Amino acid sequence: MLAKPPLINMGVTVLQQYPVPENRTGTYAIELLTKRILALGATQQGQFLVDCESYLSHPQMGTTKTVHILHNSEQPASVFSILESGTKTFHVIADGLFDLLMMKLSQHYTSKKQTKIESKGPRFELGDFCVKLGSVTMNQNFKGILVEVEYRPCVMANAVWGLLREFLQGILGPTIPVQPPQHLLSRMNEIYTPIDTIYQYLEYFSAYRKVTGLRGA
Amino acid sequence: MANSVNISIEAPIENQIQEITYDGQEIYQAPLSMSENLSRLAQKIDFAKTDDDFTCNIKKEVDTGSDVKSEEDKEPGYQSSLWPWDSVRNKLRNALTEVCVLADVLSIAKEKRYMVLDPIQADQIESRPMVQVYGRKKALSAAGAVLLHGVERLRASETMRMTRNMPDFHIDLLRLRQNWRLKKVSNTIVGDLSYRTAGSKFSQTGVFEVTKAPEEQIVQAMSMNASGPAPSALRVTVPPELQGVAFISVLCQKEQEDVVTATISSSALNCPGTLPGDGADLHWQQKLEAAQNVLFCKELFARLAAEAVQLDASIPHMVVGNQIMATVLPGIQLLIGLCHNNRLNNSANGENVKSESASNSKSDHDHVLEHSLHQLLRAVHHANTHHPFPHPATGPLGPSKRRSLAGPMAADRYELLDMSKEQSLLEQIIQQAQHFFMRRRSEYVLDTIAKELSMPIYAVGTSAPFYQDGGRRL
Repeated sequence: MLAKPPLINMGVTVLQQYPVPENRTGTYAIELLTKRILALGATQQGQFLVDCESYLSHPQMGTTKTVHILHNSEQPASVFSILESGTKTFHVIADGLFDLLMMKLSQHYTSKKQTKIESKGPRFELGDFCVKLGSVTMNQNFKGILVEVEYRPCVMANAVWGLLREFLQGILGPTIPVQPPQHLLSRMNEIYTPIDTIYQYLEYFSAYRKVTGLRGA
Repeated sequence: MANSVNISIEAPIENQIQEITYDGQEIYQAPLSMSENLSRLAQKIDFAKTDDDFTCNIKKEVDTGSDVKSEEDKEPGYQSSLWPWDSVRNKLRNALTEVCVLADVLSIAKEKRYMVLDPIQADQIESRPMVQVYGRKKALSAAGAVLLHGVERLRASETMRMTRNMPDFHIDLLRLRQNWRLKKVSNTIVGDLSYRTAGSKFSQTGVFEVTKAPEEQIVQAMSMNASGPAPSALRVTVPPELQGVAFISVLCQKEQEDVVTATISSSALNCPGTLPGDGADLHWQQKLEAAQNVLFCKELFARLAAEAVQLDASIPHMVVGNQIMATVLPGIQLLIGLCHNNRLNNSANGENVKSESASNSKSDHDHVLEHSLHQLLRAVHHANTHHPFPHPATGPLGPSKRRSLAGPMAADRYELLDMSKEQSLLEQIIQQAQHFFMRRRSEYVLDTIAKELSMPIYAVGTSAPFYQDGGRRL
């Protein structure tokens, strides 16, 4: 089921965290961002969902490994899995049957149900941009807001980073610093693939899991 | 071992099924409890039976009467739930009575005052070996006579065949077997000429029967054309709905004002007679091929008709009788008709067809579209049986290679939507017809421009046809 990096025309995507203002709810922040995007002339195109479930290897198997299983509604037929073993990470993109395979492996990889985390919300299209406003919830507990912006005509992060930063600044406001994602730093000159988006989500999800309560509030 | 995998094995359900509900759920009888099981087993004990064969033989005659009686009361004893041990109690009581009577008889016999026991001479079974030998001899000779008679008949027919140079049935059967699927069902040989094995999913069967042709007919056929090829000793019987000749006719025409009359006049599409020669003396190969073609055309038409009804076009397609009407371009209609010339209805309106054919001959049908319709259905059949490799060990076999790779290649939703679209045969044929008309019109426009303007020189040509339309040149 291992596949080469796909050459699918997918644009560069940048994931950015939006801190919820003091004494405000997440819904308020989402509404605020929605208003700003709609004012720019975007149209809402349905909803989106990215979810992540993590499995820990059995202690008898030696060093503990973690398998993260992620789904992205943008690639509905795929299951992304990322294996963390010590400092190394591997990823496998497979089709939907991979979920069933994980159930079969439940003796060796136990699911940490209470850490199932997801980001979902409205999806907007504005010309060549695609903006997704996701509220991150873990076990129905609101954790924060992730804004995903995709610029579809370009596949090289280096070529489009300036444009994306400007666009993000316009939506999020000048007070929020916009930095290129950690995962993209080493891959600025390579062709962007869907798994890069997944890595960005996993980075934020792992950070959200570590803190209790709202993050960046 | 930490890495070993436990295999769970489930014992089959041994309880009896009491009822299967309409939604397929099975209701089981509750298993018997220990005491119920014991009483059930006790019911089964045959108290009349003993281990000793000798006593068994003697007792058999004595007990036949009581056995029947006990059989009778066994059934209601188990059925009625008065007391489960009732029948067992009765049997034991009977046995006790018998034992008591036996003890009395023995004690009386011992006194030798009222009763004396005398040995009885067992009457010997007289065995006469000669009678048995004669009997067997007679039976064997009767069986031998049957076999000899059969051999004689086979030999007679074989020599007659050799002397008169008649065709061999078995050689013909062998040839038939090489090209067609045959099987033996009890006493008959049946074959299947449908396209099932080639991927067709049409419901109509194509079963034919193979019989031996009567000798008189072969002789007659041989005398008729002595110079021609030898007639076959085989006879294939094709079901009546597959007899005759069938073809799909595609016709492009200008839309007529009165659709109804157009339908009626063209509903009797002219069929070009039957095959040369009548059914009986036609060679089986041609006959089967014709029947297979009828089946293919029927499947094609049935499929197109179903698609025509399902598709919702802006101008709805019409299916009337054996014709489908679809609008290709404004003012231009595509007529697809199924012509099946069965000998049954041919005799009825034979003259009618002839007169129609004269008037209809001017609107020639479109061979290219007919051909591509056939090709499209064959492509569907091919796709049904040839799944792209590799075949997954687990997972569905149906989807295309693109679809099975969509997951690992992380295809997005637009691509997946694109893959789920499938063009029906009718849509494809309409597109081909549209393409043909657009090309002809544009050619006409270019020709007229070239005629009017002398200066620019237009060279009008059509490049390699986009569709598989058999190298059409205009």
